[in-house]
Amino acid sequence: MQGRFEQSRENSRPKPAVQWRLVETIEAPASAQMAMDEAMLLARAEGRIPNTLRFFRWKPAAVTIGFFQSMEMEVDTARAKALGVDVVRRYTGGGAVVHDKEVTYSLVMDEKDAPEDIIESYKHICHGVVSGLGLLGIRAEFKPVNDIIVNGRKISGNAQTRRSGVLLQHGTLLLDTDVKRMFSLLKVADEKIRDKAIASAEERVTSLRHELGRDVPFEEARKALVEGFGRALKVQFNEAALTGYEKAAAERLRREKYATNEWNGWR
Amino acid sequence: MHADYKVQGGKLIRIDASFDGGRITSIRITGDFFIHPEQAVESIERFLIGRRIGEGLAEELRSFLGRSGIRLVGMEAEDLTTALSMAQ
Repeated sequence: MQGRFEQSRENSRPKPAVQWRLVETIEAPASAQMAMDEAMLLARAEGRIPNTLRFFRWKPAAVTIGFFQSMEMEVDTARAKALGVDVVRRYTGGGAVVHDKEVTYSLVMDEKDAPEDIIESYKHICHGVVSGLGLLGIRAEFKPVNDIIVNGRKISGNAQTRRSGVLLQHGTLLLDTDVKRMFSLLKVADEKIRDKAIASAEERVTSLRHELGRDVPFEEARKALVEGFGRALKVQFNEAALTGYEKAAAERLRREKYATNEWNGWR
Repeated sequence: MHADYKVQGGKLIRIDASFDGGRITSIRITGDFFIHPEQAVESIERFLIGRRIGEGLAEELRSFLGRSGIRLVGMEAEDLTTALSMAQ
């Protein structure tokens, strides 16, 4: 009887939606962005903030490399410097990315709110991007380990880390692509096949502009992603700024970690 | 010696290692894979130093990862040992 009672009570009272914080779009250099992501992770681990989604823009354009990559082997740092492009190592694994015309998100959440299995958790979170793309009229799908593809071509890359019971995931959604520029900043494993690598990457990557045949403004894509994440994660967002604690931690992490040669060149 | 090994449908493992009489004397593992927790890449490197590349190594590595709570994503223990043998 008790079970039935609880069942009926469950049915008569809709569960209140889970509340997440949504942080305003922040434009900043790469080292500051990566520092803000880690600061959010620390703040979440200390219980100072709720689960949070934020969007950001790289100013200037930047190259990030995965935690385990060799800066020297992956990036033409001299060229990046000459072009005024920032270079930074991420806290997350994965590959080198040239960030220019894209929408970038990052989120921190209690690890318990996501599937324990890492690939399943990528799928769970990436469903927010897939859902947002659906709202823009694009049929996309999650491709393990960490990509989102449209008709077999990559439109979004994602990377995740977990620490102190908190999951941090950040990812990109391409507004437009410039594969030649991308390859002018990245080194290819075999220089003899550089042209082939460019042609092959052009075949393997797509963007909102390519899929929709028009320029999609950052804000339009961001709004679709907010809606998509809300639906996929079944949460409601409350807009708020970063806390003073996060800003101070981010500034310290930028100065002492992400802006240092020690961090960026450690492999 | 250096070797690049592309995991089937997965990630690129890049190994720089030196050997003495079949034993690993130094190693640096880089690439676009994921290891949780990230800092464990250095424990994996330390674990491999002094070991001999052979049939049992993948199993030893897998057991080390299991008891250390280290998770590889986008590659398996066998992929790391395959890349290592290519670098020999």
